[in-house]
Amino acid sequence: MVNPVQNEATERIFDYRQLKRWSISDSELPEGSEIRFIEYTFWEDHWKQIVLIIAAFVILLIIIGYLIAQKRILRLSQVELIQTKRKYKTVADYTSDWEYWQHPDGSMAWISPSCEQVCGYSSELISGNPDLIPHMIRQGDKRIWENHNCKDNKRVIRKGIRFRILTKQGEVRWIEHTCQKVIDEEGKNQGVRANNRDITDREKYKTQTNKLQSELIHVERLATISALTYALAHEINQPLTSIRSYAQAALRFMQNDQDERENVEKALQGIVSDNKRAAAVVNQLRDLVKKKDVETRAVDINSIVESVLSLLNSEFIIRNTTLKLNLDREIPNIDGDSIQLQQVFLNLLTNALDAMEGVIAKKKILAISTKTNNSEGVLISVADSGIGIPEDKLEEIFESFHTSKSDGIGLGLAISKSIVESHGGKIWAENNASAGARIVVLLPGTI
Amino acid sequence: MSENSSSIFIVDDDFSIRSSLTMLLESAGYNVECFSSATDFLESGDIHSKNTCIVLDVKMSGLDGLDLQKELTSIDCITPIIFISGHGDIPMSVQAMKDGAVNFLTKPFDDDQLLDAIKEALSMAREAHEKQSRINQIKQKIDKLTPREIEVLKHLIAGLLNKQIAFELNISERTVKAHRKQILDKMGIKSMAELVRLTEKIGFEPAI
Repeated sequence: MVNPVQNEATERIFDYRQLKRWSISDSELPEGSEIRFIEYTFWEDHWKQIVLIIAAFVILLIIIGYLIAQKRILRLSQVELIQTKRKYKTVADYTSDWEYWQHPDGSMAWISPSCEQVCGYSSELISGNPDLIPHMIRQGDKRIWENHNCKDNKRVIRKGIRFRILTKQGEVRWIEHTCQKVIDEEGKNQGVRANNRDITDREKYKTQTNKLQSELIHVERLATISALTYALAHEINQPLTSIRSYAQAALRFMQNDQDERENVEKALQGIVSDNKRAAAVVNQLRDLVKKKDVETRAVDINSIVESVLSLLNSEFIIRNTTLKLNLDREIPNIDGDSIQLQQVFLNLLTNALDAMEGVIAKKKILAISTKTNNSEGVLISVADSGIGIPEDKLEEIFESFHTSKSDGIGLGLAISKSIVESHGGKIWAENNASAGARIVVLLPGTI
Repeated sequence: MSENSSSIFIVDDDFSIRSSLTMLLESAGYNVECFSSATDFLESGDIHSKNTCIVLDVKMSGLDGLDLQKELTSIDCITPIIFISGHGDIPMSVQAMKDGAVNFLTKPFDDDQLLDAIKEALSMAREAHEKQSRINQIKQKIDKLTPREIEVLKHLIAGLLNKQIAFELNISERTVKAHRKQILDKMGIKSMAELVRLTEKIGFEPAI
């Protein structure tokens, strides 16, 4: 062993290797000592790099971990996306109505598979040719489609339009179409989302219901007329009586010696005139009894009232009722169906006559008046001098099957109301200041 | 042609009925006058016409035929009525006949039906008026008698002898005979039997 050089300068200098050998740590050395021949370990030599490498490694690991995590998140969201996509695709494709989303340029973004079932054309066909949609609409209804114009809608669900289409197989179907404009988050127009529902059944039931209602109106008319049979027979019997008397008078005149030509002529003219009178009653009855579709044209209410009165002439006499007629000749015409309006007045008049059944003959007064209502339209009032209507029943009497008669059906006023309202008018009941009640009808004039 | 110059009355509110019946009656030679309501007829002053009859509709507005019949009865108008009606209900027609109508015809009727009824009605009217004027004549005759003579008359038609009458009235038989002659002279009759017949016609009551 070589002794360290023993001087001041070397007193504090130690050999690292020796220290190491003797396991003397640095802390045991006196202050100011210098250690030489330090042998750095690999670690001590390269610890910075190592740490750096390790750090880099760790960072790399972290990054990898992050990437893996991201990938997993991505995969999860992809899965979720697929599930969501599947969910919404199911929601969209499983619609039973035919629905579609049409881009602003007219091409189809999406069409529900139910398309084929509703219109006969597959969604592919329509995708390839979006003009098929307006094309399949029936000629008469094309105007409705053109007027509705999807593209102008705001994003508002409006009441749908209805039109008929001709399916690919040539069948006619009723479609109810609603649509909304599609606006994305940036406010850009993304086209139109439409819904087309097959309402063929509904329209069929609607037609059936309308037909039934029409039948009912007809039946009520028949019932009213049949209740008047006795009076109507009398109405026709009068001219028949006159005709016979005229004819027999003419025969007698002809048996006279002198020339009775003038008298015979008068008698024959009388026959013709009375025949016309009877024919008028028969014609009117025939019109009322016929089943007819509603026919709207300009109608004069006064002439309707007068023709109904001519049928009821005998009825008034049989029932000892006095008629007070007050017709304003200046009333405007009404747009309406003459037969149905006659039915309304027939009903109101027979009701009024019935209402006075128990009243003594002198006081049986039926008053009818027509006059112009303020601006336009006509106000008609039919008043009786019976016992009036209880205040709480003034609206109830217009309900179906409401009747105070033991043999009544109770549809007359209900149907009258329905007819008046279908003409755009109103009907209501009031009690008179004096005896009895009146029914008032307001009908709008021609537009 | 027509024997009487008075008019047959038609009361009906239907214009062509009035017109056709007028033609019919004129073709059979009658004069006709029409009224469109019972009230018009009542106010016309024709209700006291003689030798005529009324062709009357039952159902009219206002006063109807049956009302008019009652009204005429109440003022002692004996003009016969023939009802015509478009309604043939039995109670109504029975009532009308009971109240003195000549006939009740339902429309439409034949000319013969109406004309026969009119003939019947006119002869009834004639008879009634003749009867009425006979009665009036008799009444006039009796008015010519003094009260005493009337008393004697009552006893004469009771079948009493002059003697008995004298005793009853406390006068002499000769006075009775004188009254008797006066009575027959004034009344222009020849026999007692005739006197009895005449007084019976006017419902003159005998003394017992």
